[in-house]
Amino acid sequence: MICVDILPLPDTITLRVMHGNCKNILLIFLRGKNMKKLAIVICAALLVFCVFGVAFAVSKEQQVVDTSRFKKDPPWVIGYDIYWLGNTWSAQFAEEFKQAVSMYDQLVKDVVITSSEGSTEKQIKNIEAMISKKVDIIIVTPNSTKGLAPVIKKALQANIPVVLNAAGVEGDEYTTFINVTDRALGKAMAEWLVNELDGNGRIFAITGLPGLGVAEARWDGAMEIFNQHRKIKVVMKDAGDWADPKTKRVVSDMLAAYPRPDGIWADTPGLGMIEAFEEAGSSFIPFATCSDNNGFLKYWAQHKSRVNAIGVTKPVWLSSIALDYAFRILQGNPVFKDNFIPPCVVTEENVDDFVRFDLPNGYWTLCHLSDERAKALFGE
Amino acid sequence: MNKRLLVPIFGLVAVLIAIAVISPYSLMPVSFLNATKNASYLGVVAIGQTIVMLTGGIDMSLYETIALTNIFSANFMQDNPFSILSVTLLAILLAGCIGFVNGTMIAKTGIPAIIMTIAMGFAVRGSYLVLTKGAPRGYIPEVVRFIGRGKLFDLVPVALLVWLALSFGVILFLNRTAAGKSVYFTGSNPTAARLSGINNDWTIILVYVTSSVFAAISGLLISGYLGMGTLDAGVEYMLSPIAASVIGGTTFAGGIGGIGGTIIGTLIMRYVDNLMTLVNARHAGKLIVQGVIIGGIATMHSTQKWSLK
Amino acid sequence: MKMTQPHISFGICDCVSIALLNMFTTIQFHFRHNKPIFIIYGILVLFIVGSMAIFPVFRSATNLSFLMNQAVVLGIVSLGQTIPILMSGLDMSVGSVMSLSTTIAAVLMGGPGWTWPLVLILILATGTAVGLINGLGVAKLNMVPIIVTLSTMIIVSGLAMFILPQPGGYIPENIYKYFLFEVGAFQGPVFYYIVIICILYFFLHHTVRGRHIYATGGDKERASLTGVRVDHAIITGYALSGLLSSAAGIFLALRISSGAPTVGNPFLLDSITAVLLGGTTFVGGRGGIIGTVGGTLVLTVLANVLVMAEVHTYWQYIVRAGVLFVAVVAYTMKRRFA
Repeated sequence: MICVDILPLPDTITLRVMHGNCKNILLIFLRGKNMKKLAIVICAALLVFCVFGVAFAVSKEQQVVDTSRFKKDPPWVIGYDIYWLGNTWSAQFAEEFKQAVSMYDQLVKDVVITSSEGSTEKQIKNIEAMISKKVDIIIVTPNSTKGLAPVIKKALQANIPVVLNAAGVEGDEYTTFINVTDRALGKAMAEWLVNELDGNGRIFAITGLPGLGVAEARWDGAMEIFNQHRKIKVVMKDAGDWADPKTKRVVSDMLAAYPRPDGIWADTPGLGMIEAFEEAGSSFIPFATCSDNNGFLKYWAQHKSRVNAIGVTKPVWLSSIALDYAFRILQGNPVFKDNFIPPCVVTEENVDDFVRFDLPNGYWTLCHLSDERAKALFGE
Repeated sequence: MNKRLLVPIFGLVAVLIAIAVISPYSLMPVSFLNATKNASYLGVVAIGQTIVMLTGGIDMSLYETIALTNIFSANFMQDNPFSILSVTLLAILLAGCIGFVNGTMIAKTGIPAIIMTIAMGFAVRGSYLVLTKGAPRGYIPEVVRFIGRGKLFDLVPVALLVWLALSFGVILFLNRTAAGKSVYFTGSNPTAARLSGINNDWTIILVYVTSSVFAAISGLLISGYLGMGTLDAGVEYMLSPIAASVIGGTTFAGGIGGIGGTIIGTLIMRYVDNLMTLVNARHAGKLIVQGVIIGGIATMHSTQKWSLK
Repeated sequence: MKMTQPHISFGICDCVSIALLNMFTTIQFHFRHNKPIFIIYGILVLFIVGSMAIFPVFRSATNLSFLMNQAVVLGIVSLGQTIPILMSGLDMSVGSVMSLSTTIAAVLMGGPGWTWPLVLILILATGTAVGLINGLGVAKLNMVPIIVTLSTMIIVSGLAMFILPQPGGYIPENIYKYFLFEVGAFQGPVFYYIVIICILYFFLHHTVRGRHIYATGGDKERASLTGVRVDHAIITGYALSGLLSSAAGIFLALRISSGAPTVGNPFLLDSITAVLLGGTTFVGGRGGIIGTVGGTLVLTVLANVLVMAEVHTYWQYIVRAGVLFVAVVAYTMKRRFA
C-alpha cells in the first residue's frame, strides 16, 4: 500500500512516499517558495496515479452492480442499523454515520436508526421493521455472516438495496459491501511481527470478540503468515474481547505462566495489554496491534523509546463511506460489488499526528468526527 | 471451624496441587500473590452476595453496580484528596440507595428477589448507558490506582488486604453481633425470627444495602485496577459471586453458610480460572469445568446432613 | 275444582336473557379465578389498538406477519419456562439449551451421516436430557432450582461453545420447506407454535401428570399427602422445560440460518418476563400457559413498537426494567389483597 505524506518543515517541503510497513522508498526535499508549487503539482500527479493505479488493479476482477432498478428521486429515507454499542469503537462508528448524514439535509428526508445490540436475532427484527417502513435503502453491519441472508433477500425482493458496512455475509445476496479486509489486517500485523522477530520467537496471541466474523478473519490472516514461519510459535492464545479490562487480565495471567514472550499479536485496543506488562514488570516486546485507540497512542507517543509497535487499523470513518455508496446506488449509478479500503497504518513515525491528548482514552483516532461531535460523544 | 468448610477446603487444595504440577512457577510468591490479588475484587462482591443469600435472597444487580461505580468515579474523580474522598463517599451512597430500593421492594411487596434485582440491574445499566452515551470518559487518580493494583513493600497487594480485612470484619459482625445473627435467623426461619422480635424487613433492607455497598467498594478497587472508565467493568461478576458463595457452602435455602466458605470459594474460582489459562484451555473448557465444580460442590453440600433446618 | 299447573312459557326474549345471564356468570366466575389472563390480554389488545393508531406502519400486513413470526421463538421457550415457575422454581438453563440446540443443528445438519429429521430428534433428546438432570437435582438431591439450573446452564454453555466456538455452521435448504412455508400472511413457525400450545395445554390440564404439576406447585406437602408423586411431577416439569427450550432453539437456528454459542442468552430473562407478565408467579400453582402466550405477545409487540418509535437502545433497558417490575408488583399486590 502506498502512502503519500507531506511533512511541513520550516523552509522545506518534504515529500515522502511509503510502501507497505512504512518503509520510505522516496524522499524528496524541496527548498524555497517556488518549490512549494512544484511539490503540490507532483503530489497531485502522484495521487491521481495512485487512484488510477488502485482502480485499475481493482477493476480487473471486480464485479459491477447495476443499480438502475433502485434509482429514486431524492429526498430519500435511509435505514441504518447500529450493530452494537458495546465499546467506544462501535459508538464512534455510529456517530460518524450520524455526522455524515446530517450534512445532506436536502437529500435525506429521514433516517431510520435501529439498534441490534450485538444480536443477530434483533438485527433480523430491525431489518424486518425497516422493510415494513419501506425505507429506500438499508445500511447494515451484519452481526453474523450467515444469519441475515434470508432477511436481506426479503429486502432485495422488496426493491430495497442493501449496503453491507464493515462486516460481510456469506454468499452474494447484497447490493454492495464496504470494508477494510480484516484478513489482510491480521496478515499485515503478523507480517510486521515476523519481520521484527526475524522469523524466530515465541509469541502470545490475543484475539477479538468471538462472534462477529471479524475477529476470526483477522486471526485466519495471521495464521496464514505464522504457518509459513515454523520457528514462530504461538505459546499462549486467548480472547481479549476488544476490551481493555479483559485483555489486561488475560495478558496478566499469560505473563504469570510465561513471563518472557518474544512478541505479541494482539487484536485489542492496546492500553490494557501494556498495563499488564508494566504491572508484571516484564520488559516490553514488539506489539503488533490493529488499534488506533487514543489511550494506546497516548502511551506510545509518550514512551517511544520503550514501545515498539504497529497499528494496522480499520478506521471508524468507514460508515461515512457507506453513506456515499448509498447515495450512488439511489442515483442509479453502478458500484462495485465489493469495495475494500486499504487499512491505515499507525507507526512510530506518525503516531504523533494521530494522538489527541485533549480527548479521552476511548477515542479512536483515525476519525473524521468534528471536534464538537467528538467532545459531545465523550462528554467533555 | 465448621464442618461445612471441609468440602471447599478440599477443593482448594486439589486445585492448588493441580497448579503446582502444571506450572510450579505460578506458585512462587510474586505470581501467586498476583493471582490472589485478582481474586480480591471478586471476593469483596462475593461477601455481599453471601450475606444476601443467607437471608434466602439473591442479588443480580451487583455487576451493574460495579460498572456504575467505575463509570461514576472515572467521570468525577479529580486528582486531589477532597475530590477522591467525596466521590468515593458519593459512589458508596449511590450504591446504598440502589440497595435500599432493592431491599425495600423485596421486603415490603414480596417481589421475588431475583426479579427485583434483575430489573434493578437493567435500570442501572440503562441509566449509565444513557448518561455516558456509550462512551465513558475519565481517569482514576493515582491514589485510587495504588489501592486497586498497588503493592505494599512491593509484595503484598493492597486490594488483597482490603478484601481480607472486610471479610474478617463481616465474619465478626455476623457471628458476634445481634444484628449479624438476626441475618441468619431471618434466612432460616422468618416466622420464628419475627416472633422473637427481629424486624425482618429492616434486616432484609440491611443486607441488600450491604451487598450494593460492597459491590461499590469492589467497583472502586476494580476502577483502581483498570485506571479508567469502561462499560465492561462488571461483566465477569454477574454469576461468579453466586458461584463463589455456593462453592463455599451458602445455599439459597437461607440461614446456612458464611463468609469463611465464600473466601475459599472465591479462591477456588480464581485459581481454576488461572489453571485453565495455564493449560491453554479453550473458553468452552473453562465453562464446563466451572459448571461441573459448582454443580458438584453444591450437590455435595446438599447431600450432607449438617443443616440447621 | 280442577287444579291447574302454573304455565311457565319461555318466549324468545326469556331465552336470550337467560343465556346472557349464564354467560355473565361464567365470565365473572372465570374472571375472579383467572384475573391475570384477562388483564394480560386486555393489555395486549389495548397495546395493539394503540400502536395501530399511533404508528400507521404497524397496521401493514407485512409488519403483522413479521410480528407473529418474531413471537414464535420467545413463545416456545416461555412455554417451557412456565412449568418450573409453576412449581415455584426456575430454569436458568433455557438460554444455554437454546444455544446448544442451534450449534448442534448448524454443525450436524450440513454434514454427512445425519439427515435433518434425525438431527432434530437428537436436539430434542438433548434438551430433554438436560431437563431431566435439572429435575433430578431438584427432586432427588433436594437442591435449590436456581443452583442446579445455574450449573447446567454453565456446563451447557461450555458444550455449545465447544461444538461451535463462533457463529457459523450450516442449515441445509431442504429443511426450510417444512418450516418456512407461507400461508397467506401466516408463516410456518406460527403454525408449529399454535400446535405446541394446544398439546401443552391438553397435557397440563387434562392429564394426570399435568395436574400433578399444578398440585405440586400449589402446595408440595399437601400434594404429597394426597398421593401425588411430587418428584415425578418435578422431573417431568423440568424435562418439559428442557424439551421446549431445545424446540425453541431449533426455530431460532432456522431463523438465523446458523448456529451460535451465545445466541440464546437474552431469552432467559425474556422468558421469565413473559411468564410473569402472563400471571404465573413464583408462588406456584396458579397461572398457566395461556397467560404466558399473552405475555409473549405483549413483549413482542412492545419490542416492535420501540423499534417503530426509534427509541434509543439505551432507553430500552430502562423500559425492560420497568415492564418486569410493573408485572411483578401488580401480581404480587393482587395476591396480597385478593
